Amino acid sequence: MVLLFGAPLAVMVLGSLQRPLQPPPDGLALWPDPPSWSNYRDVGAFLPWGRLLLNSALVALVAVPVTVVVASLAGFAIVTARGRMRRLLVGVALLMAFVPAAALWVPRVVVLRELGLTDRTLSVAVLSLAGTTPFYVLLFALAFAQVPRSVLEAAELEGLSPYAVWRRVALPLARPAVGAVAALAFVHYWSTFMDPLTLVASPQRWPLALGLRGLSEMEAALYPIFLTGAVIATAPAVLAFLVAQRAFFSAAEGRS
Amino acid sequence: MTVRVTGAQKSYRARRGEPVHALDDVTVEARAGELLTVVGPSGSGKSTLLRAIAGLETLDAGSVMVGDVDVTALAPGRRGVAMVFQDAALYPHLSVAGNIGLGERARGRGRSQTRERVAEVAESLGIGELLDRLPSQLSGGERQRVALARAVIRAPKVCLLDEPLSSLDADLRLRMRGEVRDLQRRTGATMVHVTHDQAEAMAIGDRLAVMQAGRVVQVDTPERVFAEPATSFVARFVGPLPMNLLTGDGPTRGVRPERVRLRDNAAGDVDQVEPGLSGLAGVVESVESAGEDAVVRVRHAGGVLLARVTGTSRPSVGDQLRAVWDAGDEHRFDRDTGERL
Amino acid sequence: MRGARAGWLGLPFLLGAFLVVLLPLGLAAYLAFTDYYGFEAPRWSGTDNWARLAGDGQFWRSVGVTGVVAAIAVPIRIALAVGAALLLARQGGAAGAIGRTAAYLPSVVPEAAWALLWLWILNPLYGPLPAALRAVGAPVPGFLTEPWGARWGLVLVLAFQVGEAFVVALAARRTVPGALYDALAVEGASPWFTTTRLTLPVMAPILLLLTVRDLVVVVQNAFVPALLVTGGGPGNATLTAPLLVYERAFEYGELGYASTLSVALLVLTAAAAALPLWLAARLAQRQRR
Repeated sequence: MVLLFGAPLAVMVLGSLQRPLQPPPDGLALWPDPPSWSNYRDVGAFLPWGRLLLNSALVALVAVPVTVVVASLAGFAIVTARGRMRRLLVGVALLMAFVPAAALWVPRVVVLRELGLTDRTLSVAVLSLAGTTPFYVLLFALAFAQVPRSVLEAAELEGLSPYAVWRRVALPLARPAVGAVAALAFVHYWSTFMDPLTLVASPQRWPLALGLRGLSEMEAALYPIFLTGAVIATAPAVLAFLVAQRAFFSAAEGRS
Repeated sequence: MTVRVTGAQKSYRARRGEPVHALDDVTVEARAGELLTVVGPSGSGKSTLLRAIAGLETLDAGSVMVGDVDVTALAPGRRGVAMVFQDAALYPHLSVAGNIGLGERARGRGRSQTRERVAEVAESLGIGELLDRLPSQLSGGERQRVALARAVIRAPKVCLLDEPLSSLDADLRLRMRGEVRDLQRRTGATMVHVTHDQAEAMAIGDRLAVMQAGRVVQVDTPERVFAEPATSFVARFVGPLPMNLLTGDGPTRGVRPERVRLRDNAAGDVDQVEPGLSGLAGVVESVESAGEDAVVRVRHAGGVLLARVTGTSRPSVGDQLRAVWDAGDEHRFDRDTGERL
Repeated sequence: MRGARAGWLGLPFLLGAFLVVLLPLGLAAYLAFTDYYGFEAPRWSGTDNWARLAGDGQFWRSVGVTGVVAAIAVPIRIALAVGAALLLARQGGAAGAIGRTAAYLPSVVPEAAWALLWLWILNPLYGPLPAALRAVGAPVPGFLTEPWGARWGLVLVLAFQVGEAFVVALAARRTVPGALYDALAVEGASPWFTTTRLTLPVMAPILLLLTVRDLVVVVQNAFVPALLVTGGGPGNATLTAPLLVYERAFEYGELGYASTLSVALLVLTAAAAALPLWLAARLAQRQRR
């Protein structure tokens, strides 16, 4: 299974080390001999990856904290609230999970354009105001459900407001979930393609993931170059996930 | 069929510090056709022992025999033992009939044969009406009966019961005790029953095995365990009230609260003892009503003593009195090891 | 916690969702009945767009393509995600951690990078997959050149990124009480029997929800590879509905008609989701204690 899921990534790295502009190989030749590191220098001619990286980093820097705050507040409210408010929160989260993103592209652009929020580097970060995806809200709800109710009630009896209970009791107890959602949100904003494609028109404001688009029109013989671009775009996301994977799975599976 | 556990060892590695011995050289036997009740406080290893017999836990050392077969290395399903779980452990997606029959299906019995057996067994346990219900629609007692039926359908030679009644309310628990006994008598199966409730253990066990800290400290009939506890721990654990233990220079002396008589001692005499009687002087600290009886806590020089008194004349808090008992009712235990002398 | 007061903490989320989901949804419902090109105010056109939609062969063909791709990809994805989750649920330690990480890893690769990778893997001349197939003497479908080859290519691109479903299945598996497995182990049930008669039925409501959610995910995730890998071709064979919406809105600028298409897509998705959702609710009801 590790092999099955790991193969595409391994192939990506191997491909990025092959020499560009070779005749089509005869048979399967995956192993680069010798590895051609110069692709990582040459890719700069096709992809202004320095600026693209900066744009991506800026988006992540803003969107990740906002996502964590909004999603954890919502997850906490779902676990602790009762009655109409709870049903409303669950309903909206479910609706978000089951509305195809494509149905929202057009009207979302219209709304944000009216508000003057389109075609900025940070336009994409607007989505973090809704917790980015309901999956994160669910992760937080699962994590907060592990906190014994009596602990939260005891804190409230001490005179803490619901906000203070969230901030000083629930959130510290759900640290793995915070780490997990932060990492996932980073990966999301690092990877997102559709949102900048519809919301950001100016190429100098694109994030890296969208910048890769230009590479897809290159000659097939240049595949090592565009795979190099793919590796550069993938590496930070994979690193972030590897750092957070323990917290992520323990949060999702409710173990500590 | 006899169930014999010999030299069983099991320890869990705690996250920090010493490993915990759940079973420490446990040897115990349930004789063919008897109901052996394993009783002990929580954490004494009784559930681990039962799960080891079932094969749900593997032993670090020791063996489990069922009849003449050494089943130590066999998978749970190949040991020929049925088991009833705490909280019933019913499959939430299956009807009562599905719950009772799933094991038969797992063992490869056909659909229609299973259906007949299920109906038969359910009838015998008085849940024939409930076959189409889902677990979510059952009361606590009904759930537990379904759990029993799930074991009975195998016509097991050996049946293990893991705290089967602990999730029921008091009234129902009393009634279900009788049903468990009936079932044992009817099926003739060897039963090993685990409970932390010594009253339940006394009521239904043919014999008791008392466990403490991973060891079996006494195996005997309920009457003898009560009358001749093997250690001071058993003396305090078994019985409606814990035995009074008096420590001093010599061996620890013990007396059951039921055997203590209280005498007026307004003069505040020192321990004045008639021939054939033991006793001590003290002050009444509290009086707790227990139906016709009352439990009196008497504070004395060496601590507190419980006495169970009958009748209407009860002492009041602050009374000076003398607690006495027949010297023959006194138990003696080693001061250091706690073993009976 | 007293519920009413804690509920207010959900307000930021509700406001955000209003801005980027609910308001756009409402707006789409309105724009679907207008002529709108983004320069002047939308002009009410009644049901004109809907009449055009009914006769729009390209749209219905794109719905068909989307449906076919989803019908193949969703079962494969769910089988992979749930299979991996069941294999790993009781696997602790280093092996468990490596397995979990591996199963999730493809999902953290940026969509565009993933698309570039498959652009190479599937390439008829340079791609390792056609080369590998030729090496074992298997027939090589024209992954980027023939209609069905391209659709299978699209399915392959979609098959691996199942992290979210994997994690939800993992969490769901862990909610099945261990005592049920003990009970069945004592009965002597085989692993296959246990999986098919206990694990999967108990998880059924969540699996159905996952299937619906995955349908939505596939419909949207198919967009990037369709745009970058197959370009909708050959001959519109992989022109999925979202790609059509995108072209109408952002290449032709027909924001009004694109809204009509969006709403139609939403309605069709809802129709496809209704039956499994209803089933899931019923099953969950049955099991609830």
